[in-house]
Amino acid sequence: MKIDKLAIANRGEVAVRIIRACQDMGIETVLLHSEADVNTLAYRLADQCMLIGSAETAKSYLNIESNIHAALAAEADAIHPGFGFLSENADFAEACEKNRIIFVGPTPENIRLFGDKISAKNLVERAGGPILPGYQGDDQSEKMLLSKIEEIGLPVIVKATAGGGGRGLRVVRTMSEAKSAIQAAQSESQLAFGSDKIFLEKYLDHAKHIEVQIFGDCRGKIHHLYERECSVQRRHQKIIEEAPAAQIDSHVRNKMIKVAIEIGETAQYRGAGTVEFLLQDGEFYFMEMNTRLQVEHPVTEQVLGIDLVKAQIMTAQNQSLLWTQDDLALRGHSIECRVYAENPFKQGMPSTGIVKYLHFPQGPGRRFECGIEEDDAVTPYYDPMIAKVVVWDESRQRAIRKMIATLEETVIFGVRTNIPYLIEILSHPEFIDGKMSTQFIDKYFAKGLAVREPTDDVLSIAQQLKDKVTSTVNSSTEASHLSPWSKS
Amino acid sequence: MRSTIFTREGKRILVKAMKIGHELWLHINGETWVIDQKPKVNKKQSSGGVDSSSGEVLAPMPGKILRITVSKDDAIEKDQIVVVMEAMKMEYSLPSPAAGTVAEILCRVNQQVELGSTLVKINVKK
Repeated sequence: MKIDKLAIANRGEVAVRIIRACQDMGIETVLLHSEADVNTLAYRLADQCMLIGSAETAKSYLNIESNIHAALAAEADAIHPGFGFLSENADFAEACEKNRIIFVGPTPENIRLFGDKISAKNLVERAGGPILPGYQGDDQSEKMLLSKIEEIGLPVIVKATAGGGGRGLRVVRTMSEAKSAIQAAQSESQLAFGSDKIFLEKYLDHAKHIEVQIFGDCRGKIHHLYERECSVQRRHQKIIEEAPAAQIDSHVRNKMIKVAIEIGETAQYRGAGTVEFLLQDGEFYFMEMNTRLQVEHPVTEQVLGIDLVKAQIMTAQNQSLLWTQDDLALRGHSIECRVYAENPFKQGMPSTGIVKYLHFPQGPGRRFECGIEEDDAVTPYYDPMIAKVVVWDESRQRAIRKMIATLEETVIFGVRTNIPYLIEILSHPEFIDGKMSTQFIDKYFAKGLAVREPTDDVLSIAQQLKDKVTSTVNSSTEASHLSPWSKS
Repeated sequence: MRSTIFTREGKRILVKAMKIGHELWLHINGETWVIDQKPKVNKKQSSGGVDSSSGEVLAPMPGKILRITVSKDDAIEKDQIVVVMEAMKMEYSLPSPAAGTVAEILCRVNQQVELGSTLVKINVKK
């Protein structure tokens, strides 16, 4: 089942990442791309390119038929779906199988099982894993609901649906609020869904997001690759990730790893997967399992000295991995910062335009994942993440220091980035202590950064340089048709 | 791109500079600055691309309108949030480019909007 040619059903920095693994393995690459991605690094690096649709994701990166047809036309043996888009779409995985294209990832059954919150929770319970205490029973009497709230333990979320989503969520912190919260949720549920059934769930107000990387090899053995912490998130969008966790009790880590492996074994999981937990006061709870390669995989690679994308491709070829569980030992600490094309002084407003200068400070323990080069455009059609800056050093404190220095020396001209925001976060005492929870951004950085006016020194330097710096070809007209915000 | 070394109190400061259109982009001491060097012929015209009689709030990317936080004829401040939209699973609060009153609301909650479409028209206070 050797893969000679692999199609990449993705874009940006992960497309480049997959091309790198293929280059390492002597595998030919074909990039399945949209019209908006012809001026990108992946487009230039791939051995072949197939256009799959117009810029809109629904017409291109989310279009199963286009991707399959293009892969078949290019005679690709396999497809790597990257992350996001179709990577966790069981129908796509099945369509690949039906068309005899190897899907580099888990089986369609794995994807379906963990894609459904309820079947995922059932499996985790069978595997003996801890679920967030809750109640979704049919006895909706006030007496039962109140007793369940006490049983779960305050604070408790009262909501109109079983799943996530912000509608009708109420946090009950004292029993005196409970009755009115129940009534309010019931009437909201009635209005929204025609039934007054409500659901209860334990509310974790200072939890850490800790996830365990697992890997099921071609022989069915489930390995663990330790954990990552991703507590720095803004509205569930991760911004900074690290491996290992900033602060974790080793026996809690061992328990989490054990649960993650059991989940993988029970599900007969294949390939790379990530089990996400919330950890609070020494107790952890299963949240969900991601059946794909994750954005933050580099930090795991850095602390273990392995290549996860290669491992995925080898598993897809039914080849044994280049390492065993015993080979894996954590060394040092790695941090990743996601660089977004946005203006942190305007509440994270997306910034689009042409990147006219790009400089990443190379050096030991510094790694940059970026999908564009100079004169490429950042368009508004996709995720605004344009690069990942990853550092490794001997300890967490050294890694933080290195990351700040690296971000300060990184230069991107042409679009605004969240680099100043990242530096503020990395400098915050709660981040440095490692005590931050998922509430961290909301607590301290909810409104982004305050506007900074240039100092007299900056203005004087600008004055001295302005006649010495020649103008590039006017790119603001190109930028403005992409973004009405480039004027502001 | 031009690199220059300045000295400040005996310390060497590396400055990277580049002109893009009418903007001077500078990187000094770990921070990026964008200095607008367009000659300010008409003060009103250079304030964020708003013309002298009406301002517009445009959609910066394709997405869905989540909330409209103002009503027709409301008095509003510059940078006051007028629309919240969702794009790429992220929420974006769109501010008014100028102070004035809300002239017209051209979008609805849950509407899918295209990049660049006008969402709110504002009568700019002169």
